[in-house]
Amino acid sequence: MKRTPIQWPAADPNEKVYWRSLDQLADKPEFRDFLQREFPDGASELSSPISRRSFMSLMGASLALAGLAGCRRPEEKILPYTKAPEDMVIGLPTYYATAMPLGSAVFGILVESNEGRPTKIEGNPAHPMSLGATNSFVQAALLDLYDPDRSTGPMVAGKDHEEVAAVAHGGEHGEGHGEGHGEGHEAPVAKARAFDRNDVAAALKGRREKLAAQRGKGLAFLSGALTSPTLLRLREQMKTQLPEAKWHTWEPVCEDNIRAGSRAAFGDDLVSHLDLAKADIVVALDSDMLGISADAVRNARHFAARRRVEKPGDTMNRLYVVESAWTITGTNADHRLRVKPSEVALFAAALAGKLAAAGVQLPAEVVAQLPKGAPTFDNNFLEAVAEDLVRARARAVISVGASQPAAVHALVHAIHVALGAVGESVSYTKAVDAGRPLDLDSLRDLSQALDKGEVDTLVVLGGNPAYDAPADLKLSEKLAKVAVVHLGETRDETAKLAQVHIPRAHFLESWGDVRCGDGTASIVQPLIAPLFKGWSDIELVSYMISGGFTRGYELVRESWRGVAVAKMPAPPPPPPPVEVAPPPAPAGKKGKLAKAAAAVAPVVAAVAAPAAPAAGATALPPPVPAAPLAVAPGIPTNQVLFFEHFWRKSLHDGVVADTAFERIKPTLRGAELVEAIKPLASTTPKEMEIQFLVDNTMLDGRFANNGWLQELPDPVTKLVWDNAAILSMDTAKKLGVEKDDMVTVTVRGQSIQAAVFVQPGQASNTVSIALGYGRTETGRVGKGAGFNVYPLRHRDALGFDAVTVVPLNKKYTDVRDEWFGDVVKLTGLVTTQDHFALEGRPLIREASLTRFAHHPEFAKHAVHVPALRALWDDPAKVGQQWGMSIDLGACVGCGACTIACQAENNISIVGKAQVRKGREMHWIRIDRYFSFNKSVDMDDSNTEVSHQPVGCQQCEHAPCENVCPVAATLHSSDGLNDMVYNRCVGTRYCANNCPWKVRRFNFLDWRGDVEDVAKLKYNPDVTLRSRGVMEKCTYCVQRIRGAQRDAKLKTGNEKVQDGVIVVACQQVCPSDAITFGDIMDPTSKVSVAKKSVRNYEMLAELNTRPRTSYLARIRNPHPRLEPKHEDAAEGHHGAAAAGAPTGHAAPAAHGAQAEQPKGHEAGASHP
Amino acid sequence: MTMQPMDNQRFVFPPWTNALPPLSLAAVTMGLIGTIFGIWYYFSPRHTDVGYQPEQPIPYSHKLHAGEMGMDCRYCHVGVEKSAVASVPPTQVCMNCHAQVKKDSPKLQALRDSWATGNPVPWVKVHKAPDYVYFNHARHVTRGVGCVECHGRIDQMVTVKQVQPLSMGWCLECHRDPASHLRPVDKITTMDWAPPSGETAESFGQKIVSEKQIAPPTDCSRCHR
Repeated sequence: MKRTPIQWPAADPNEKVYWRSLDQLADKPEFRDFLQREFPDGASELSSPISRRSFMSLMGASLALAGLAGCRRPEEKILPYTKAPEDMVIGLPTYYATAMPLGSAVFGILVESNEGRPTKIEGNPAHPMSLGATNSFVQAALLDLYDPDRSTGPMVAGKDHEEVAAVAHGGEHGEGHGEGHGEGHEAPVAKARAFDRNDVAAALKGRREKLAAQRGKGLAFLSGALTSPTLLRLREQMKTQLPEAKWHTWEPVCEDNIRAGSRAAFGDDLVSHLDLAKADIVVALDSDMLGISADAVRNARHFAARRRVEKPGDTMNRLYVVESAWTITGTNADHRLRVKPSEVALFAAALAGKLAAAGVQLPAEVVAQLPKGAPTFDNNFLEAVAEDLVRARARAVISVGASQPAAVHALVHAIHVALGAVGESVSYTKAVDAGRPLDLDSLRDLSQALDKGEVDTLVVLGGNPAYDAPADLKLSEKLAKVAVVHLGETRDETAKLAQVHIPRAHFLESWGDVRCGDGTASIVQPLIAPLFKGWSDIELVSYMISGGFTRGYELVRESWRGVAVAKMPAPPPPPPPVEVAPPPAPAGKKGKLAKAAAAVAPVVAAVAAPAAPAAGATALPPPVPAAPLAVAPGIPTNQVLFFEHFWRKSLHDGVVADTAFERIKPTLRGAELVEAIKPLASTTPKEMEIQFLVDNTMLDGRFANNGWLQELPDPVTKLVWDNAAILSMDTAKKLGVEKDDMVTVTVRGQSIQAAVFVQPGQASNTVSIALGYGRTETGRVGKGAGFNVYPLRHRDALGFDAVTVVPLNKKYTDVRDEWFGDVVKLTGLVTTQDHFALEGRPLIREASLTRFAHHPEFAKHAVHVPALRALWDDPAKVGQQWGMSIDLGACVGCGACTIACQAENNISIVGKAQVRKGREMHWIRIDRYFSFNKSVDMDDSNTEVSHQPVGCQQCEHAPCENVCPVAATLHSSDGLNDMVYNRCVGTRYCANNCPWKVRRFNFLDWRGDVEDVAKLKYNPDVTLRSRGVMEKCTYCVQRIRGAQRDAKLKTGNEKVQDGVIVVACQQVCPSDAITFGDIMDPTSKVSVAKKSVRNYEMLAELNTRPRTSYLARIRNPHPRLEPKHEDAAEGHHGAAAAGAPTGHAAPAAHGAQAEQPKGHEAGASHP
Repeated sequence: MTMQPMDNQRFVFPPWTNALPPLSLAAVTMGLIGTIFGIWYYFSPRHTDVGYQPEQPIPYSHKLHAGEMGMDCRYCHVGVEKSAVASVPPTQVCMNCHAQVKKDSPKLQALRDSWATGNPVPWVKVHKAPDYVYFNHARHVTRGVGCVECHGRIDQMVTVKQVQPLSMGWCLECHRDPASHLRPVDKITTMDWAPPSGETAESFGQKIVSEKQIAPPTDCSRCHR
């Protein structure tokens, strides 16, 4: 019998080498282990201190107990409400629109609430910064809400809340001098009782009265970025009522450079909004605009929309990235230039010079200021960028990272103006809180005031300056000397220094308001009463100013009452159309905590906003509970009623209508701009530079105790639970270090030790270390993870600095308190880059736009699959059949899907030691591949990155199903590969037989002894899995079944309309890379996607017929920079392609430019 | 040296022992069969769960309320047509009447305590599906599966008791052959409903099956996920 062998196409010079890690390239045994074994050696063993033997004896004992206890059925209770909330139907979730502030960023969100517990966050399609998607931070914010390590009560002088009652008692009767409160321990300790709001107020009362008596002298506030209109209003109120009080702001990842650049260029605080939907050429200068910037979600959506080519001749955008360490944006670049952080400014200057030479009308004085002399970096790259920008003109954008100096920002503003991009692909609005002092100036003023003893009481609103302030300010030493009133969600480094610490309410627990970058305002409404009776920022500020406690709800309404009345139309116009209808009822609080909620915040009458529910707009099932009020009979004319109408509508929509700032077309300044650009000429790169990275998962450290984010592999390094000193291959070689080696990193005499991670593609002579790790005072999750790099960060060098790196000749070892009190000693960093590695087959398929034009079906032809017959009969495809398509061209690799899946499907985290063994539980992982062309040798400068999200492929002939001895994994009639947890006995044969390695096994009971509060986060629609059970992606079967149920109850038929089922990874995806739906319906989005020429199935040659397919990625290199490997000779301007032997007339070599109306003439003039 | 012949007779099994092997084999076989049967019968929900009748914190009588007074099930179990759970009523619902009726009955002390303190009445769950089973009341009730099919004659129970095993096999019996368990949707709460004369439950249900396109799924992920 003759087998038809799978035919691999003959190796062509196009072929790239894809690899995951340097270990793989070197074919080290560690990598082969991950490749060939389901789990690395020893992963199946139980770890110490419980040996298998003691485990068996323990199990024996507990089995015996279970045997005895099992004789009687355990009694289970049903605890109904005493008074049920009016509009709640038990078992049906409700959705509320609110917004999440995150530093200066704001995300509009819809939150699912199950019986009063917020369980899942989704993007609000009506919000300009969300567009219906979110990112991993927003997803993981939910976990922070239920963090058992949150601050559960106030502390006074380091004493816990049990003693606060006694302190408060003393405070009431004493003279009320703040200092007296520290002696709380002298008072008889009252019987421990739960604290209440009065305790906090009493602890502050004396202090406040003293300060108020001296008109606020000695009082200072320190807040983060101010995006809240109410907080801004209170700040103004402070200026009148306590004129001597001071307000300071500090964000460790601050926007000072952006503001300073805008002030220099335009004389005002303006925010530039990139419209990537319009841009043909995108240049990112040290800017992670697709990853973690405030507008990244929106940017990713628009960026990806311009990269979906479907046929030869289609055009797409082109992304140039100039950066040091890989960012998410860098991994999506068509061309990436790796330079030292300081050289980015030189690049910008050189680019401006080139543009001016090419006839772009930059002001002559500005050009005169540009540094002369030949640039030290790749001239071809620079020429290509300049050429493209000149050709694209108004359809070009340049994004500059916040860590680049103001001069670069100012220069880029000038370039935008000169290119005519303003009003086209770049628009400007005024910044929120325009004109406020720069954060650094503000913090310096605070530091000086502390030095001079001018501050008596510093109220810290949520920040952690003791950890994240610039090292040279020595703020933590100074804070220890004054009375700090710290409002914080955790008892962090600053809380430990504070005289009074007050638990802060999470944004899902408090009333508030925010404005996002373009000014669009949202009301933040609570989903749950404060779990630990926390105060919100506005409540504390209001208390400090007025001396009385006003509920946040009243404060926010007060801020908006005037705004609403001003908007009140004289003749009532028709209500504006509502784009989104989260199921109605902007009710205040619900759930088991309804009673508590009623005590602390008013319950808004459960009334639906008068908007008609736009069915399907949000794709969330509309669980409309009790009938809401009838549709409002028009707009009320009475002021009070109008405000109620305005308020409810704003709450319902999640955005306050018509609050976006006006788009303005600013004019460039003259002398100030020139002055600002001057420093560029004197920029000299240092021999070795350190770059302080904003972390992809920890941000600035505020998410340190978030297990989901700690365990989310970094999009590039795939490191978990750690940061590292990232070095390029050549720099590591020069220093004589390799991965896991410890080095001493010294900046201006300050040193830290960190472990090395060698990352090809990192800029040479640059060490990049992420902020946000090495927390000493945080919860059990984050404590001790990684290295704290803040001690190296100085005021004048927040982004990068000169550095010396010295090897220490020792390996990184880490002692961590893991599960079950296991203290584990680990050697080395843990990265998941080799986990679940697949054999070297064409898993990733990509091509340049030119190659695509010549050979559109390249993805299908990457493997020749002969006609294969299946061993089993094909299942009958009746009814709806589910399938998924993932567009690799759109996927930016951010990892939000992993977290969204984790939140939706109750997926556990396992800890660093377990991840090391390959036991991470993520149902969808993102495989990150590096690649280089086969014809050249790999070095730092020729690596490219590709991302591939991989979840269960839901094979029609699933290999896992055939090997299960207990039929725990079976096929459903609608084409799902069902996993039945309660049948699984844990043989793990299925995982062994899965070619995609997507099955995850519960080696231990990862849920552990979860605190009650942590249980609140679970999605009630998904079973919790225990030890010994296999699990995997289910295509969010709970959402499919929910949609089918809703359809059936509504129409009597189970057929679900296309677009109603939105799976968790699809919903979160900022770039809209994932499509899901019925593959039997030829008009469904997923069917259309699967018909694309770019469509291919991963490992189709195995004939398992996966239901998930991929769309190949198309890159758009500049023709001159493209490696010379195409079969057709390609001309510089694309004309030559017309004569290519394949006969494709449409060149598309300059795809992005082909469709633009203007700019061609300018391009033609270019040499 | 000569050997004394051993008295072997002492070590020879008596003839009756020849019966032992077949007997013991039979005994083991019988024992095995008995064990299997015992487990099959006694460990099944039909034996372990049916008849479960816990004492409730308030001696609420369905017989009185639903039977003799004829209150509709949905007066209290409001979620049954919309949600997965029928839901046990809040104290408030009881107080709708008992604020006036039997105000001082000692049996209702727990109810009044709940109303006064806001603490819920700790009802004991009788009908319990495991956590990994996602049963949906609305889907069944709106298709014409009456309350009585799973809960029995609640209207005759002073204290609620489980009458059906609620096991997976029992669910599947109906999912594979639903006809005889269906009735008009407006009769779902009628405990003593019978098919019109001249029809069997089977033949009448068949009409509902075709009219409503009833095709109960048997995929695992319909209930387990």
